[in-house]
Amino acid sequence: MNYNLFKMRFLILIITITLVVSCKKKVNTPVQSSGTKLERCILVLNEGLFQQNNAHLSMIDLDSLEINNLFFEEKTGRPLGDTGNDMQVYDGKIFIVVNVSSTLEILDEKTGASIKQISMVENGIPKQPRYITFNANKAYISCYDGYVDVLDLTLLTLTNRIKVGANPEQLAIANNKLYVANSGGLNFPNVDSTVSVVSLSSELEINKIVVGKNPGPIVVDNQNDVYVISRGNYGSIPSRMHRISSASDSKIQSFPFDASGFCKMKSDLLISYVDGAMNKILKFDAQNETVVSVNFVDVSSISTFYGMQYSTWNDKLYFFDANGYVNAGYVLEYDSNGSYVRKFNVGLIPNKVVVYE
Amino acid sequence: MSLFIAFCSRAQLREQKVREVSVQAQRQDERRIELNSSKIDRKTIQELQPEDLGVLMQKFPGVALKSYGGLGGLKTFSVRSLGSQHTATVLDGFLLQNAQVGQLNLGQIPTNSIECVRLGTSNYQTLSPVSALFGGNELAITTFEGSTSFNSRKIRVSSKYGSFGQFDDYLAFQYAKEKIGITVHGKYRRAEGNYPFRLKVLNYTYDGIQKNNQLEELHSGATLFFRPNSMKQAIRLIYRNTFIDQGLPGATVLYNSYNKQYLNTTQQSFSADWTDKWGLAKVRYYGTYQNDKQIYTDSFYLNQAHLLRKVYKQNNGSLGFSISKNKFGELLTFYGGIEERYAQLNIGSQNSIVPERWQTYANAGLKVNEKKFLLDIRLGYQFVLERDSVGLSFNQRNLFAPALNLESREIGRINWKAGVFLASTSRLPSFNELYYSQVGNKQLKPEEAKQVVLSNGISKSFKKWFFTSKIQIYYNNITNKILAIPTKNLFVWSIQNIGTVHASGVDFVQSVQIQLNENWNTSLMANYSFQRSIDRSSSISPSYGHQIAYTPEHTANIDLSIYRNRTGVRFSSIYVGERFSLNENIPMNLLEPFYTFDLSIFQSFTIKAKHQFNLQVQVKNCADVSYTYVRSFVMPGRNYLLSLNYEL
Repeated sequence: MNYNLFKMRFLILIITITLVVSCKKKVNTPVQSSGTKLERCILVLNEGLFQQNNAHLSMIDLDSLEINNLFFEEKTGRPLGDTGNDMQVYDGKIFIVVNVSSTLEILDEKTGASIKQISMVENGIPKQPRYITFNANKAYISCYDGYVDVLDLTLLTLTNRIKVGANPEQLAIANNKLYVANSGGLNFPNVDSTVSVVSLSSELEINKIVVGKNPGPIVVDNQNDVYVISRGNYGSIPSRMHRISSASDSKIQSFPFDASGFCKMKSDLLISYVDGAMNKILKFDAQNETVVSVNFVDVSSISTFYGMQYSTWNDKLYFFDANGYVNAGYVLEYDSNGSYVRKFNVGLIPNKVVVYE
Repeated sequence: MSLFIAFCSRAQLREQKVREVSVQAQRQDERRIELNSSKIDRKTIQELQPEDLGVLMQKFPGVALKSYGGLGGLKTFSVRSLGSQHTATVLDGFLLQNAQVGQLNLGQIPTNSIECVRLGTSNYQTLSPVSALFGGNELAITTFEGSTSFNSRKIRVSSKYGSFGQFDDYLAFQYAKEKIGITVHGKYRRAEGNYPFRLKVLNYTYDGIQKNNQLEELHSGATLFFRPNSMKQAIRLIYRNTFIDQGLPGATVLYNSYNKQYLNTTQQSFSADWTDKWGLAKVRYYGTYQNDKQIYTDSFYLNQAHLLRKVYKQNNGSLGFSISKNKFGELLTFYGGIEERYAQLNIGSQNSIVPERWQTYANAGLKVNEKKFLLDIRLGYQFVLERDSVGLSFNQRNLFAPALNLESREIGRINWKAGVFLASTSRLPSFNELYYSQVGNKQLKPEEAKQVVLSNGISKSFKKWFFTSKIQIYYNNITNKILAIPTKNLFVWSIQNIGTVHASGVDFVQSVQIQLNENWNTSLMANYSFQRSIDRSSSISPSYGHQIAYTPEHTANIDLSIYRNRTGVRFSSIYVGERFSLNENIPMNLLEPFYTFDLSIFQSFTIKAKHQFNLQVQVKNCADVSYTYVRSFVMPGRNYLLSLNYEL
């Protein structure tokens, strides 16, 4: 009997060792970033997927063309979080808005080192920040709970909450006023249709301008006109671009073409729209309010168009290909004439870049 | 005191003899290898003490479990890369269906009353419901309340106390005379549920408490059995009622632990059947009705009301009959049947549609019980008609489900058996896939699966031990796979038939039982599965040729039980290999493999020969391993369970 028991124990030991050894994980070594000072590189914010904690910051080395998708983790020793929604540079700092994690990450623009992580959770309840914009010594962060949070850039602390409309999205500043697109997206199909006007001196909403259903993207041109896109209901109500006078705070023009998103390039606006099943880029002269070209850039090679950005740093255009939303995406670089330069395979759902060139 | 000890000793001797007889009977039964299915019996379930059927399912070979954590939390599974929509779940001979999502939440099915669970390819069992033969696989559950033995009285009571404020009481009583019997049962479970976790994201570990896990549930029911005409006829009427109120812990989101989602489930079902014998023919008439109501609440949804409340109501019903007749003794068995099923979903909001589905199933088959082989060949036909409150959503649909099973009888001294199973089945799109908000696609076709399974098994008994061994090699080809893909932007997705998956693999099952001496015996059960499930949807996709998401190449179970008289210990372990959270097999999507093991110690004792008690202490996840089945959905670490069972 003892011998049998011994055999049994030996068997268990062998099985356990086999399983433990088979549990040994593979190690995938990421590309290491070189040096501490950021130069000749592009930082890409990869949004990641909802509830997957896989927002990442990619660093593309423009000399070696090596891509490090774990740049943030290596610089800070922790993950970025869930759903990186916006990234902007201001006052020597990089600001990353992480939507589902409800954090604002502040990095040193020169090195990428973490300066501060600000939790956007109040009394245990996440505010779900979306976008950020800046004016003087303040940053303004739209939060999906219907507020814009004010960040003091000297103290790096939140100082105020400004009540706006439902589920605010992008923000823009003109004539010392903050314009906030209130989408009301979570009340679908009864979405919002307004842009809130906030006085920067009083930090109070002073007006609401009705534009069209489901406003989201918003920019200001060189004449201080505010352009906003109402995205409709993705069905029977089409998306439209509207122009708001920041002098009178009224909608003065709606344009009769589809518009999914836009970015400002010098004095022009580049507007993305869907023509049939194709994404196209329209060039719009914002000074004269005229269409320059209905197909300024050929983006037909992009499988899942996910936005664009113009970089004043190097006068280049960047288009984002989400590649089906479930595969590593691409950043495509074009010159300002709309000619393709190159593309980079980065992380999941790229949506913003910061260029060092 | 000494009198009591003497009494107990005598009782134990009697029990030992009874147990030896039952072990022998069990051996006889286990020698017959079931090539196309694996089963877990009540004894094993009692030793494992799984929280629910979902947890138990991972003990089967070829199963990939997706558990979203928490007691009662959502648990679904796939078998050899066939999603759970391809598996027909049959409870006490009645098909369970959820037309809304197409798959059952096994986290809501308790195991207290389960006598046996059998998972395998869908093979004909005598008078099984017709619709059960239209799934690629069949999960058959037999419960205490669904079966009876006449002229008997049985009582089962169990009480469990465990970590996370878990409290679980179960009571079932069965009383049957010669022609009539009744069973009543009830189960109440409550848990605070919150548990500490450690989530590893890349090289960073995040510690926290998984909150909003509270659970309260009540399962109850009654069964009436009649035997109006001796052994020829039997009638069953089964009523079940379920009430579950639970928090939904959700995914663990870094830096934000807020969760305020809740789910309230109520369910009532009535099932009845009547079996009869006419000479060599058997017939079964059966019917079911079930209504489900689920209320999902998010009490801090960022809309104007700061509240999201969705009510989903489902009505399901079926009527059918199946018949079988033997010819030339038992050489030939003809079988067939017809079943009509109805399902309706009401989302309960003002503008929502109310989809309805009628399905007619018909099948005919022939079994040949030769001395050297068994052949089962059948053809199923399914007619589907769907409409919503607006009108017909698509034309009537005709589906065919042919299947063939050929297996040898035991050959030689090692009782070698071999077999082949071929089947072509399909699963219908769920109501969510067809109609959900802007995502649904009314033009969806059924997802189709073709299966080839080659099986081999041996069993051999010696003086003090015996073993069984089984290996199955399979190939599944899944086409028209239903996947959600984005269209215009991230807000507008569409569900389409675009996926193709080629799945192949091997399941290996080994069982050894050793009677060391009259006091000691032991059993070892192990299984290992290897599966390659390759995305063949689009050659230009980055994931083309990659292993599909949440499908580990390697999974394994090892369970070892050692018994000394009436005391036992069980070591139960699970290994799940690395997987990917998305179809693209890149490091960012990698989920680490994990290995967990549980340890149980149990002691049974008997009073007056017929009052049987079993006391069990269990440590689950002994090594306190941090792991997830689904990315960001953390599972509990080490936890404890104390249970006491009584049987009459």
